[in-house]
Amino acid sequence: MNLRVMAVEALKEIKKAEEEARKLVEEAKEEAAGMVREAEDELKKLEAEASEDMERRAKEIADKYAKEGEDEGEAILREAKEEAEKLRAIAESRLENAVEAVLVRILGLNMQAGR
Amino acid sequence: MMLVGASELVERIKEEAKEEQERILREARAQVEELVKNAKADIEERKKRFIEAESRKAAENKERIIRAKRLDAKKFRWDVEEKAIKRAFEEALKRVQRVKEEGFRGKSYPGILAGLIKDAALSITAGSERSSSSSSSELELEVVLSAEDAQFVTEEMLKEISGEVGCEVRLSKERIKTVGGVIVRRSDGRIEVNNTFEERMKRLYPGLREDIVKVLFRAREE
Repeated sequence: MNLRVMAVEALKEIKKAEEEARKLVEEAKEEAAGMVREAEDELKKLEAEASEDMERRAKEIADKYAKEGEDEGEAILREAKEEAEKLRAIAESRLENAVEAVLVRILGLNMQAGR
Repeated sequence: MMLVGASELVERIKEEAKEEQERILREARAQVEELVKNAKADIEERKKRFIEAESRKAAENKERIIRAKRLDAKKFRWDVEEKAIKRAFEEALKRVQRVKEEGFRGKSYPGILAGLIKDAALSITAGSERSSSSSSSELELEVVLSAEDAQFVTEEMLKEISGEVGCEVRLSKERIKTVGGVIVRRSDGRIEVNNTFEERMKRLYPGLREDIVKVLFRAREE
């Protein structure tokens, strides 16, 4: 082979190597972009799962506190009903005294006693 | 066969391409790692803040439920008190009939009426003296009662009251509908004192209510 032919061959090889190098870099860039896209898709899924998880937990928390409120509230009402019943019985037993207190004043006996 | 320099150049191109490929992939991996790390941290932070906010909301709701129940509980007590107070007033008015028959605390019903007439007459004479130059001896008062109560008032009673208050007190022919008690007014109609029991109950309501509450509920707590 003469020198001219060898030079042409060498240039071809260099060009081929450059082309392969460009392809390699291009593929690497595509692979990298793919990795980012995959990660972003994965994050979207994570986001959706987190959203569902938050909704579920929020409902659990709301239900738990509401139940606690209802339970405590019912206990307060139960106690109040018992207390009111006792109060009603006491008032009933003292009704006669209250009636007398009213009568003393509407019959004017308090002012007559004062004069 | 290639030229010596060209062969080295090809190798260098390949090496550089390989290095570039590795650099791109390394950077992409790092970028992905950073992206995922930040996004996960962000999600966790948002989750934490969301749960905290929801917990606060839920705790407020719990307190609201309890406050509402406490209010209902107060209503139970209030309801019992109001019913008992109302009943005491109603029973007192019902008891008036028995007072008419049996008297009250050793005092006869005519005596009670006489007291109410005298009290009203004294108020009118005092008011008349303040508002005019006429003396009470010139005043004439009339007593208005129900038909039932009129039978308890005698001429002697009115004469005695007239003497005590210093003006003439006489029985009106007019009759009113009332559970009991009297209306006393000047004959000219300028001053009137309503001492019927219904009216006295209305007039004395705030004090009476306090008395009833004390008798029915406070004694226990004091």
